[in-house]
Amino acid sequence: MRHQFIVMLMLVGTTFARLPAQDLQLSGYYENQFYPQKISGKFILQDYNKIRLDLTAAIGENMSFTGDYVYQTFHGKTTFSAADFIPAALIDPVLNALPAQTAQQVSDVFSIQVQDRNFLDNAYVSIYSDHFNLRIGKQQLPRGSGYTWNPTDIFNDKNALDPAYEKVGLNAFKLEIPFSSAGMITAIFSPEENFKSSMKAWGIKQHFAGFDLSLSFIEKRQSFWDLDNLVELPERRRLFGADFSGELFGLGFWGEGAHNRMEISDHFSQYLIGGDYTFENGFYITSEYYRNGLGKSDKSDYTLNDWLRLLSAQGENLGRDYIFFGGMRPFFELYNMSNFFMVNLNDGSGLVFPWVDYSLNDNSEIMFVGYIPFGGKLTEFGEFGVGGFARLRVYF
Amino acid sequence: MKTILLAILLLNANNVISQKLTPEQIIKKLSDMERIQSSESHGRQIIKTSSGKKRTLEFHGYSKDRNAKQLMEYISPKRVKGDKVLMLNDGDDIWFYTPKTDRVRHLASHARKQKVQGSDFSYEDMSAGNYEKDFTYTLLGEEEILDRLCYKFELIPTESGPSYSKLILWADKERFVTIQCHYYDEEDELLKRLQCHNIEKIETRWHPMRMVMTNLQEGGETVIENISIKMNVKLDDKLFTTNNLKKR
Repeated sequence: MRHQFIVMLMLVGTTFARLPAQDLQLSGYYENQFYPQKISGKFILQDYNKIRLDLTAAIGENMSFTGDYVYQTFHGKTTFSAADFIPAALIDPVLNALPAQTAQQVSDVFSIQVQDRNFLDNAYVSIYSDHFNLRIGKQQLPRGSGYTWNPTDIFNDKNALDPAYEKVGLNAFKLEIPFSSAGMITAIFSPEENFKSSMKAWGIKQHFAGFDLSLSFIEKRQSFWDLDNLVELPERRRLFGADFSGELFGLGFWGEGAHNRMEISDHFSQYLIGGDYTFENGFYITSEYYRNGLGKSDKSDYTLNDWLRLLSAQGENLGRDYIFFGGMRPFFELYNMSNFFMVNLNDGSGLVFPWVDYSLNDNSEIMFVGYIPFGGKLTEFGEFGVGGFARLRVYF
Repeated sequence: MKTILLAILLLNANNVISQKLTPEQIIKKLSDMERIQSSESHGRQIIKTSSGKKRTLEFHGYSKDRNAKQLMEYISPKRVKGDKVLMLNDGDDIWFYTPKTDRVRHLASHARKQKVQGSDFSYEDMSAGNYEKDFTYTLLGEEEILDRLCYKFELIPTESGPSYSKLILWADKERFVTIQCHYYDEEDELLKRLQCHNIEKIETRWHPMRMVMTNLQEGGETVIENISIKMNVKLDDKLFTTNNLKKR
């Protein structure tokens, strides 16, 4: 892996050596995250080191290249079983009922190995003209107006507990056709092995009466777990979405909704509304209500499949109704103190996560985040282990 | 001879009348001086904390249509490089873009009270505003501030104006440019003080090259220095669109 990293650096060096120095900009950051967490009654320690190299180059007046390369090493506990995060009352009967060989298969499926990685996160060329913008390559594709949840964003795997963290790039062609000062028609195509299985998306956005409004349609193939046969099955998902953000009675106000037509599994809808306000003294509050059509309104209806979906990259919540609330206040100029709450309104469990960030100097920052769960047995957050993380980031 | 004397007297009387400007005329002259048709600048924002720590940010600034359209792009340090703030309609509409998430966010009007990159300037302080539309004003008199004789005004924000309860503004009597401004919070307590220094004549306009905003309640201070500024430049309208924010 180290070898690949060096090769990448050499590649970067030779590729851009021919570009005039003023056209190429190299930057990036180093990040260390230390995160202790209680899992299955035991405190475990994890830590990672991450280097991200960002390259940008203006190639003529109307073309640019952007690339980000990530190298990340993981330390501490790096092997887990998904079963450690699922209530024993739900997983044990399933495992005990299986023949030994099948139980081993299940165990293998549940095994999670966190491995060092290096990858090209983003690498794309942007072409600008008076009539369109075209972006080709691996790129971030942010969608939706929500902060904690984004029902219209099925491109990215979002962590509701760290929603502002950068997203991993997705290989795609994105064409944007602007109209008026803030209007935009967008078409996205992300190729897979054939056209049918490729992801296609269309969207239109406009600023009207103080609101940013957008409509979107996305079609993609995704897989779901067939627990009877222990296989992942692909199915087509068609999403019809809309979102807005603006202002109502002096409050920031936004909303986002999506209806999903599924090829095999049940159709479902998800939506949220949110608002925020800043007081005179700089105290900022924000809140979101999220309705998850995939979720259950009674905790006794949570299935093993629901838990697996929560633990998967999709991160879909178990319950049907959620509330998120947060407050942030700048302290002593360079400190920000925040406190966030997330509550599953159906099973009464939740999470409090206080957050402090501090600017160490012009190019480095450190943040401390705690996770304090509450709730009973077999509830979404009641099974969550207390923990947190300290994250240091140094830009260069 | 009598006719000549009368003419001289009338001329002097006219001069006296013309020097005695009405508050409306002063505000208009101030507005005309400060609301530049278009500009392109390179600036530095130095944040000094109450404990003596310092953070320095550099930016490129663009304005058009007498500051009704403004764009700020941070160029250093790396931590904020590429962050952009677009202000349209005299700062009534603000969008923030960060390349970290490649996301453009429209800020509601309450967010205008938030600090820009942790500085003592809020978004509403940075937006040019419009004296005639955003305030009702009263001329309080004349005072010498920073060695300049100034008109002293009380400005009360209208509904479209900033969130402060009032502003006390000192405008240079000769150059018609702001020398000092006091910002009062909702409790009518003095919150911040802006002082403008190094006022230079650029083309036909007087312009402060150094502005110091002091938070009198928390103790911090932010200095904005113009490294260079060009006025009345030709800027494409497309520069001031949300679509342009993502362009690198």
